[in-house]
Formats: sequence, C-alpha cells, structure tokens
Amino acid sequence: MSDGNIILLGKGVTRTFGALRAVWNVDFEVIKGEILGIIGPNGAGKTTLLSMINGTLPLTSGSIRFKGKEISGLKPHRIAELGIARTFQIVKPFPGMTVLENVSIGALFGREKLKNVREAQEKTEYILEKVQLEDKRDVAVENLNVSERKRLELARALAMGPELLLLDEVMAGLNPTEIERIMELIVQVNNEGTTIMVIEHVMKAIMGISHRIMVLHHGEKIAEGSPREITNNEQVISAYLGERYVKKRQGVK
Amino acid sequence: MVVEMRRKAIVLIVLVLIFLVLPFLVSGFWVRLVTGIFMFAILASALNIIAGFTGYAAFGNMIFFGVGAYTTAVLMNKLKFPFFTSLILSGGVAVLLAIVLGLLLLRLKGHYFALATLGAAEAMHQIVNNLTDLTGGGQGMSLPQMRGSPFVLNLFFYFLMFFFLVLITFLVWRLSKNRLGYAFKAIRANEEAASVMGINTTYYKIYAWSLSGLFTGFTGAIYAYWFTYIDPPTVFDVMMVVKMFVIILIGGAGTVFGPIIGAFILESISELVWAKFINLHLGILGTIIMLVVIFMPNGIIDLVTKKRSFKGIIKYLRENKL
Repeated sequence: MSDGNIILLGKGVTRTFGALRAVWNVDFEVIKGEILGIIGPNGAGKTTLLSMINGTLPLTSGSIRFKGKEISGLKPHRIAELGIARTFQIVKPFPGMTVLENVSIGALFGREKLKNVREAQEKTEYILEKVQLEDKRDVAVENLNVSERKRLELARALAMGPELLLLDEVMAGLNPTEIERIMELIVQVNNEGTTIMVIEHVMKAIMGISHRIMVLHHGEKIAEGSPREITNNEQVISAYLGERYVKKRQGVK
Repeated sequence: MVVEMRRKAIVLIVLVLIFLVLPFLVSGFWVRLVTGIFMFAILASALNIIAGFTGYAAFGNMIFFGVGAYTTAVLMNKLKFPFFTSLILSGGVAVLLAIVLGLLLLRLKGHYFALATLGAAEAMHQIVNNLTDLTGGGQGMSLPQMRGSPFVLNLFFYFLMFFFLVLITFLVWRLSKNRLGYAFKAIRANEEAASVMGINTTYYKIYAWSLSGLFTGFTGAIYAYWFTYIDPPTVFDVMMVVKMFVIILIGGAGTVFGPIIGAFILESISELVWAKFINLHLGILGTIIMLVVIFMPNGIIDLVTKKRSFKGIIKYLRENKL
C-alpha cells in the first residue's frame, strides 16, 4: 500500500503512568476509508491510545502523524480542527444545554468552524435525524437515557465533520436492537467517506463492521489483521481466554 | 414563540422608557439609589459572564473595579486627563490585567481558581496601598469634582450607569444566543469535552474574563468620578464580590436578566432593612439569602421563565427530599 493512503501513522507510541506501561511502543497505521477495530482485554491500553491520538493525553515517547503532519504535542482543540473527532466511553454531554445546542457545538467549533449559530443548527438537524434523535432536539440532555446519550455523543462527533472518527465503546450498555442500529449507522458514516477507529467489547459487532482489527494486550500490539485472521490467532485467544484454554484446544487437535 | 418574544420586547421597551423618565420625576435621593442599583446590576452582569456563563467563580473580580477606579483617579488627578478618556483607558487597563491574570490563573479550577483570584485582588490592594506617591496610599485619593448643579450631576451619573447597564445587558443577551456564548457554556459544562470538540478553552476563558473585567473596570471608573474620593479598602472590598454573587444567586446565574432582577431585589431589600432594622441588617439579609437558595436554587428568574407556582415549588422540594 502506498503512503498516500495512510491517514494516521503511529510510530513507537508509548505512554507510561509511573512504572505502568499503559501503551508500549505501538506502531500502527490507519488506511483512509477503512474501519479499524481495536480490541483487547480490560486495561490493554485501548482508550489510552485514543486519548493520545486526539491530544487529551500527551505521549511519553513516539510520534503520531495525521495526513503526514505530526500531531503529537498539539492541543486537543487543534487536533479537532484538523479533522479528528472522538467520543468518550463515559459520555460527556454538556448539561444545561439542549440536544440541539450540544450537537451544534460540533458544527461551530469542529473542522468547519461555522460562524453562524442558525447555520450550525440547520446542519445539526440533519445529523440528529441520522442518529434518530430529531424528536429530542429541544430536550435538556440531563433527561436522556443511556442509549440516547450514546447517540448524542456520536452526533456531536459527527457534527464536527471529521475525516477520522475515534469511537470509544459507543455500544456499551445498549441492548441488541440498539447495537444493531448503531452498527448500521457506523457503516453508513464510513460509506460516506469517514475513516473510523473503533474500540468495542461487543465482539460480534466489531467483527461485523471492521475491515481490519488490531489487538492490544498489556499495552502492546500482539496481532493485526482481518477479523477472520484475528479470531484464529493463538496469541489473541490466549490473551482473552487464558493459556490453559489454548493448550486444551491444541490437545483436542 | 413569536407572540411571547413580542410580549417580552414590549415589556423591555416599557421598562427602558420608565427608567428614562424616572430621574425627572423623583427626588435626588431616589436617583442616586437607582444609580447605585444600576452599578450593582452591571457588576453582577459582568461577574455573570465569567461565573455564570463560563463557570469560573472569580471571587477576586473587585480587582478590576479597584484598578478601574484608581486608573481614572490617577489619570485625572496627576495627568489632568478628561473623564471620558480616563474611563476608556480604565477599561483597557482592566482588560490587560484580565489577560495577564487569566494566563496565570485560568489554568486552575473550582475553588482553587476562586481562592487564587481572591489572593490576586488582595495583592493588588496592598500594591495600591503602598504606592503612596502615585495613589496616595491609605489616605485615598480625591478626584476633580464635576461642575454643575446636584440635579445635573445626579442625571449625568444616572444615565452613564444606565447606558453601561443597557450595553452589558445587550451583550449578555447576544451571548445567550451566539457562537461565543456557546463556547462559554460548553466550557462551564465540561471543559475536556469542549476542547475535544475544537474549542480553544484557554482563549475563550480569557475572553470571558476580559469582558467581565472590562465592564467591572468601567464601573470602577464611573464610581470614582461619582464619589470623587476613593481609598483602597473601599474599592478592593471583598464584601462587594460577595454581594455580586448573592445578586446572581438571587436572580439566576447564567441568565440574561437574572443579575439585574437580583440587583433590584437585593438593593431594595437592603435599603429597606437598613432603614428599619439597622442592628439586624446582616441577619435579615442572610436569612433571605438562605431562603432563596433553598426554595429557588435557580434564582427568582425561574419563577418567571418556568412559570413555577407556589405549588410547583412545594412539589420540587418534596421531590428533592427537603
């Protein structure tokens, strides 16, 4: 693959908290137009990695390039302006504002930097329809349920008009129907041209939508490949299910 | 929606008209009293921009009042500047101070920020106190008196304060709807999420504090010329900020008209209590503040905007197990 297709390139990305190696020397690349899934057991460093990409957490060492431009060390708002949006695992809505107001902040301050509130709200209406929150537009965000909050989080990121979208467990806490809906939505956004990096614990979902998968374990990258390759990878199985399970499986073979 | 907006507009126009003719109808005492209320309404509205909209409890906002007052006093006294030039320069000095202090202090959050601003205000108080050659130190400073009959003087300061009150109210009303206001409110709600969504939080926080400082500085300048004598303990008085916070609480934080309504209510009550029960003054005020905080945590403006009835308040209290 040529370099022109790589939208995000990480080299030796490392973050330590004292003696803890949260993310250790990870090289990765995200190809323009793909959905890259990131999986790994709890504490593998997935969210830490996303936080380093969007600038909320500084790198201990290494470099991250977005469309060829070094972005490690930039402030989060600069990275947002360049076209990287993210959602948080623990949603962070803006209380005291309505759904419409929350989402229009994305249009006002994201990549497009719309100057006019009315213009931003028009664009926002369309995104609210997309995530099926249009009938909640004037509701205060405090009154939304979990599923609606997750979709609000997604809508706010979409309103920023990102080229690269980082999704941190947008399906956690949702029921199967809701998961189905959000999966369709992610695929649709991707088809419209947004590159997506997604962290998810719902295996069926992430295997279903990702083009490629990267597996982190104890902060290190242990595997990368198509969903099929990953499900058959011994190291991944052992990370998730324990070495004893792998030995038993080999014994059966 | 449209009908309601038209009704609001009519009420506002009528109020403005009333205040335009009022000083010609009442005695000098009342004109000065209302001028004082205007002053507190401006100060509270200015504090509302940083504390109500942006969520930073700037407990040291008196620093801009004092610096504004002293800038005007020094410029008029030592350099013989005309009042309006001094007034504008005072606003400028307050903004510069807000930018410098903001760069240093706005990285702190919550009560740390509140305490740091308090410390900064106290430091400035002491600096002014010790720059005896420039400021007269603890003796205070007299300003050249404006010429004219008491009636004209009263009118001058009344309309000057009124002008700035209308100006800041218009500005805050715009903030409640425009892009800048969205940035402030997002920072108040969740600073990390705001920055992730592309908001340059440092820039907007300093912007908010500068606006706040600008109007507080203007007010200080007018105060100095109005009273023609200032001294450090008066213009750097922490109790003034406490009063502004109470006004915002009573009226409604983060709203456009809350601080104005609050200023009128608190100052009227204060005047009444002061006149009738001079010994119980603070006690009665304190009781009123507690009642407001318990029964109307979002301010009196909630009664108007949410049309909350007495029954509604009782219901609210039950729901919140009070």
